[in-house]
Amino acid sequence: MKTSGPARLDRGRRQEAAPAPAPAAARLEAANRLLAAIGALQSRFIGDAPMGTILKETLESFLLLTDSQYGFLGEALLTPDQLPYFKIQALSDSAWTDIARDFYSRHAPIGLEFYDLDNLFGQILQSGQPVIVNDMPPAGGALPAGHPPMRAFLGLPIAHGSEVLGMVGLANRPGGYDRELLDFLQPLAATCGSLINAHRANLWRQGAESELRREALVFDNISDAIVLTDREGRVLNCNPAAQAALGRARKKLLGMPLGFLLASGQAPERQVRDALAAVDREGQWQGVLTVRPQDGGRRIWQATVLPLQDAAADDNILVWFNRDETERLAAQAKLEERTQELNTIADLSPDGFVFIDARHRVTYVNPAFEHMTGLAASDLVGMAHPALRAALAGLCDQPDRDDGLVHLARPHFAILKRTVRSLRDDAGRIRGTVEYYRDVTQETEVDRMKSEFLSTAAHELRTPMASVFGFAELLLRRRYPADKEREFLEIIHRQAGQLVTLINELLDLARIEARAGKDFRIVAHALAPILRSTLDQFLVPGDERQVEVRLPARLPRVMVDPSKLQNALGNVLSNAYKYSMGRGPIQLSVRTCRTGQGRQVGIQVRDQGIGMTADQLARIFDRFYRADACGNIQGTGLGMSIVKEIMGIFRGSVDVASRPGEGTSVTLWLPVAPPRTPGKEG
Amino acid sequence: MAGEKRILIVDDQPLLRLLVRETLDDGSGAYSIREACTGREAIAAVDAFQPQVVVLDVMLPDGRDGYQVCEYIKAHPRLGPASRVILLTARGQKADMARGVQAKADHYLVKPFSPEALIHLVAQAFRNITETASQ
Repeated sequence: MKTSGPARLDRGRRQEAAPAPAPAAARLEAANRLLAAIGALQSRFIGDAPMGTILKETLESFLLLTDSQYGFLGEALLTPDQLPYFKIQALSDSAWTDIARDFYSRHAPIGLEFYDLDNLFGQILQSGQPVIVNDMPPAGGALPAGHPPMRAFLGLPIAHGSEVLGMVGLANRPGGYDRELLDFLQPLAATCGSLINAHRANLWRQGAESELRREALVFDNISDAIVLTDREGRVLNCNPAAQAALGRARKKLLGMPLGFLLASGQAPERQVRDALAAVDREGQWQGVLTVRPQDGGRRIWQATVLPLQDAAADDNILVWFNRDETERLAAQAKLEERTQELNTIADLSPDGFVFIDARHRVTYVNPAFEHMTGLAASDLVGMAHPALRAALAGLCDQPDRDDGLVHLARPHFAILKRTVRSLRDDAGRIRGTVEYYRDVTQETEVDRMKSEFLSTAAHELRTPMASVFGFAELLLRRRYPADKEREFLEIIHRQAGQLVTLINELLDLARIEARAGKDFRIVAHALAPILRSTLDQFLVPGDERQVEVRLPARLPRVMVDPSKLQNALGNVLSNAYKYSMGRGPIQLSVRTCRTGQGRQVGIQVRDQGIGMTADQLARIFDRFYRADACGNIQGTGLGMSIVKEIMGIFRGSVDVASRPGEGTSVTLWLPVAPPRTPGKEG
Repeated sequence: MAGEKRILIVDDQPLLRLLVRETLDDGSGAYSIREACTGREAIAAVDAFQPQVVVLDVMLPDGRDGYQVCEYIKAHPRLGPASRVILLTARGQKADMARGVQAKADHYLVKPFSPEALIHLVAQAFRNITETASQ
């Protein structure tokens, strides 16, 4: 048999090994040794010995059974690129030179690999046929340095079925190799083939199992719900996340049509059908599924459906990857709702809001801010923050006041209190700023007026106090003639009286203001008795004049608290007397008229006194204002303020007409009481 | 008129003018006293009467208040350096006093005041004028 192989072996003369005659006892003994070797090999494999060790011992058995001097045992393998190569797994180290030993020790642990198989090894592996070369000529330099001399060679393929898995090479059997020996070795070679095959199957199975375990781990632990269905959408398998989301055990879900698990109202069967059709058509489907768990409620799944990518497996399996979006969508909806609420609040708020983002740009202004400033949101949004501040400053006459308030002069006078708050995220980073503007015009004005009132009141109290204090001290420190002493005492007495009046009137005014008329007992009352009573009690010492009263025959009833009306009318009469000393009569008259607010009755007091200029008239209701510049006329300057407050509570009004040098007329207008109901006297 | 000690009393309240006059006029005729009851009257009296000491109320009618009268006196080229102004007021707050200092008033007396204190202040003012003039 002509073969091609390694060059050195080509030179050898090849021949079919001739069976050698052997006595029966020797053959029996050899057979026993063979069986023992096979048994040992099998028990080593069953005992899970490392494959390298098994192959080394197998080689030893081959050498012993054939009396060969040395040999090797190797496997036919494939590279990752599917290229065949030969790898020697066991190599005998007998009869080697030091150089060979060195070569062997460097290469033995990992084996010797041959990628060029265009030689005797390749021929044996490819053909699956043994090769015997006896009477080999001296190889000389053809063998690698240190290679022991070779006189005879047996190359025996190791196969499992028709597949060649490797080969064993034996050298230098005394007398060479023959066919009978080949036949004899066949059971060992076959056993070795079976074991190598079993070992390889084992390795493949282990790899597959570990891959499966990894996949199962992902399948079981991923938070996404994974459902496997057939092409009809019936559940074949599902992972724990899917079971938890659906609130059903795996065994209950198996075989269930997926459509059954979807919320009704979404046409579930059709939705599943459409998804399956899309997978057929386009290879995948993505969409939103609303599933209904066993325990009620709804869960929203963002689903991706793919056919199972495994050539070996059934192509009719579909995988549904489902990301649960329920919480995220709920949070988003909640956020949108909250945003809507906040926008509504901001829109309805009487206070101004300006939102500024982290890049100092205005992102929102509410309608109240637009109204306060006359600046349009469309102009302000997108504006840099300093530009906004500049626009506001442009509306002020004194932008740089240090009271922390914005005093707008345009578009209308207003005082705004600005509050600035930073908006921070959970990590504490500033995400923007809210400026909040509150209109404090009224509060500020009220504060200013209160402070001014207090200051003026103190002044008014100090003035009579100065006379009391000063004249009393003069009387204590100096001697005066009796008439002068009496004059001073009279001053002290009069000024003390003035103090008492002032304090009473201040208290009256404070009480009316604070209680806003709550202590007024307003009832329908005949007007005439109130007028008579007021005039009877009214007395000005040192003034002989009588009030000239002109009343109509029938007087209407009015809605008043009689004592408060007497107070108001008394004040008006008192002024009339004081400002017309020695200047003609004082007249009181009553008339009625119809106004928008119904019928009203006017009580008019007219004098012919010094009168007032238009400027003085304009200030008549100012607290502490007195038309008498030089203080010759006694008074507190509170009388007309009190009159006005009282008339306001009666829902009436005060009219004053005056000309300097000609006199003044004051009219108190009061609402007429509704007609008396029958059977009720008043 | 040269050796006369002239005092102008300015107040819109007749009783206060009376009190100041009675306080300063002890019957010895040491002072020549005049009165004015508005800011305008006061300025006219300053020009005509040329007082060395002015006892001046702050709150005055007719549009000219005591501060303005004080400023007028102190800005007067001849009269200004030779006169002393005692502001007399019922307004005792800090801002009011600061306004008085600004108007260059020499003293600030808050109502009610002690007549003794006023007598002392006026006497001191005249001494002060004499000392300044003799330097």
